[in-house]
Amino acid sequence: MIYRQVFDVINAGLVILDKDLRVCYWNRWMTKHSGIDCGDIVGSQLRDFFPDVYTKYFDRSIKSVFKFGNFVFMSQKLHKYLFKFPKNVSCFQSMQQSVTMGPIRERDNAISHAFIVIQDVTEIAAYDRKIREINIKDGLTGVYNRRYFESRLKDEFDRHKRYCHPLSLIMFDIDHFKSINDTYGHQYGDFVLKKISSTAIEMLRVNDMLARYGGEEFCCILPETTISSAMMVAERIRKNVETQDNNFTTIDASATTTTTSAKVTISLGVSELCEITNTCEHLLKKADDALYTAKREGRNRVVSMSLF
Amino acid sequence: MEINNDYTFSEIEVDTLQELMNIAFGQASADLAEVINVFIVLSVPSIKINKEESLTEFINSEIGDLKGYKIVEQSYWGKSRGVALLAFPHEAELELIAMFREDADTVVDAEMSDELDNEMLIEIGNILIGACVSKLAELLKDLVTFVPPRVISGEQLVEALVENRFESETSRVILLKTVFRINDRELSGHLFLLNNLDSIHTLKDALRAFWKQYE
Amino acid sequence: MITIKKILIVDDSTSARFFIKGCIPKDKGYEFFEASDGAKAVEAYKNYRPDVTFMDLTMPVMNGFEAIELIKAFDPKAAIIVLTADIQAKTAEKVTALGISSILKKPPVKATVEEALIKIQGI
Repeated sequence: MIYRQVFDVINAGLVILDKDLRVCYWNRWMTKHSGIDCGDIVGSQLRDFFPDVYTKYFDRSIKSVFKFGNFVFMSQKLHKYLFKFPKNVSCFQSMQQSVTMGPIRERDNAISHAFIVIQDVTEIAAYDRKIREINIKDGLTGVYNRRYFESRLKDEFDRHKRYCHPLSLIMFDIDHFKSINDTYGHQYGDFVLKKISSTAIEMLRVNDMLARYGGEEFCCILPETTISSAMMVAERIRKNVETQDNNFTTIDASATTTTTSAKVTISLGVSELCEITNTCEHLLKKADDALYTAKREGRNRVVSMSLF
Repeated sequence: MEINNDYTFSEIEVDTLQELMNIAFGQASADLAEVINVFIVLSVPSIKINKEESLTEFINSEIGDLKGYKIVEQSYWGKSRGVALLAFPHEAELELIAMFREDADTVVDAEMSDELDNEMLIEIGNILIGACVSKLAELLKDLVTFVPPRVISGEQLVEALVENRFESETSRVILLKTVFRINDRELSGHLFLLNNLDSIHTLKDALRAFWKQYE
Repeated sequence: MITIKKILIVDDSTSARFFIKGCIPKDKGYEFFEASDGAKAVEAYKNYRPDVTFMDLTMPVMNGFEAIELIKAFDPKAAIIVLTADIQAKTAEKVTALGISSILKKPPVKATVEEALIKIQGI
């Protein structure tokens, strides 16, 4: 097989299987990443070496290759990888792969073998993820940004409206944030923003979503949550923020440490999706109105707005 | 079989092509049932040689408003070349995805869900298109390979067709259409196969060869 | 034992009817009749009393299932060979229950068509 000279130097994995899924060819790239020599695996069932490869999806794909000569394009986004090879790049512990499978035909067009081509896309996937993070997250606090929040709110709103499920919103704002900044400096202000974000995150469930809405204003989407439960969540956040220490320690050039500490409170407004809420802007406006009321009534409190 | 050599199909040629599509899609349905456990009913296909009227206008008139549609687009290459378009309305798309997601071995990340839905649609489309096109090609003794599919929105269709050089003043296409229903549910979509007119002679030759077997 | 003289071919596609004819031996002197939908098939059956009927399933006006039922009601001994592109198991079950002689998948192949005819003749 003179083509081997090419197959063994290309920067991609190449595996050829017969109809019984026995390995017929295993190129050097595969050896390099799996540590298994071509001579050792050829003739064996792929399953014996890689039982994890045999997912429902793989089964369906390889069947469709042999049965109707399909080409299968296996995306990294959906499947991460086919062969688990170690590789450490930023957030990934395994090599991320983009995989193509297809038929190999004999002269009479009958399908006798299938090929699998594996490309390493770990770097691209990591880069992609980083770009995505930058796009949807707030750089300072690490919670979602306003733009992403708005698109998610719209999706959740539509979904809950369609299925008539409860959906609540909490909007909150740090009390007297301007004077915190003025008194303790912007570095401390940033610390407070981060601290409160992480406190709020701890009080939320996995499916809830927290975003920095404006300067010192935050917003949470609580799917499948009625207003009474949302009020309880809001109250827990308020209480935790009120009682937490906000100790911020700095070390200056002469190695002396300074600890700044201040009591910080937040005001919260809660709203819920109901029959008459027709747009997500409406839902947002009601939470904002409630927040405004909380401010006016003396701050450090939770107010809910019944929707009229 | 009467031979008609210009860029039109005779009645009998259209009839044969239609019969072959019927057979091909019937086999594709049976194979899909076996391989992915999905039962698909494909309607009697129709054929149209599209001339003056704009292709997008035609597709629009077939399925109503293209807005809100997702379309899986995949090019195929064999002796005849073309592009397959699989169009679903939004609700059908969601249901289809839910049906396949059950065994996708994947955890869905809300922040990526749109993109993952598209990826899922691409995989489903790849299987459906692959099965239908391969079977038709097989009957016509052709062998096709596929370019990875992509998802476009109904609104992007014109652009995509221009890219494929299907929508220009001189181009005409052979358009094969079928409507399918999945798992006895009210879940239907359209499959269009657009063959570039350069392939018309190849197609005519293949039809003639098919007739020859029975003469 | 039945001797076949007359054959009725039912299919909405002209080419499909041609393909079936192409699979039937030409040296036996059979007389052919054709119909392009289920309703016409029932009509033709009553008029010509064919010895064998080749029947498609998906047709306009009246589909193959209904036509088979009507033909069977008229003549319980009618010998019917179904030829279809719809080869899903469910369809085969449904149509076999109607008492047909055989079910063949499209496109027709000489060997299997001849085999189906031999079966009807009981040789």
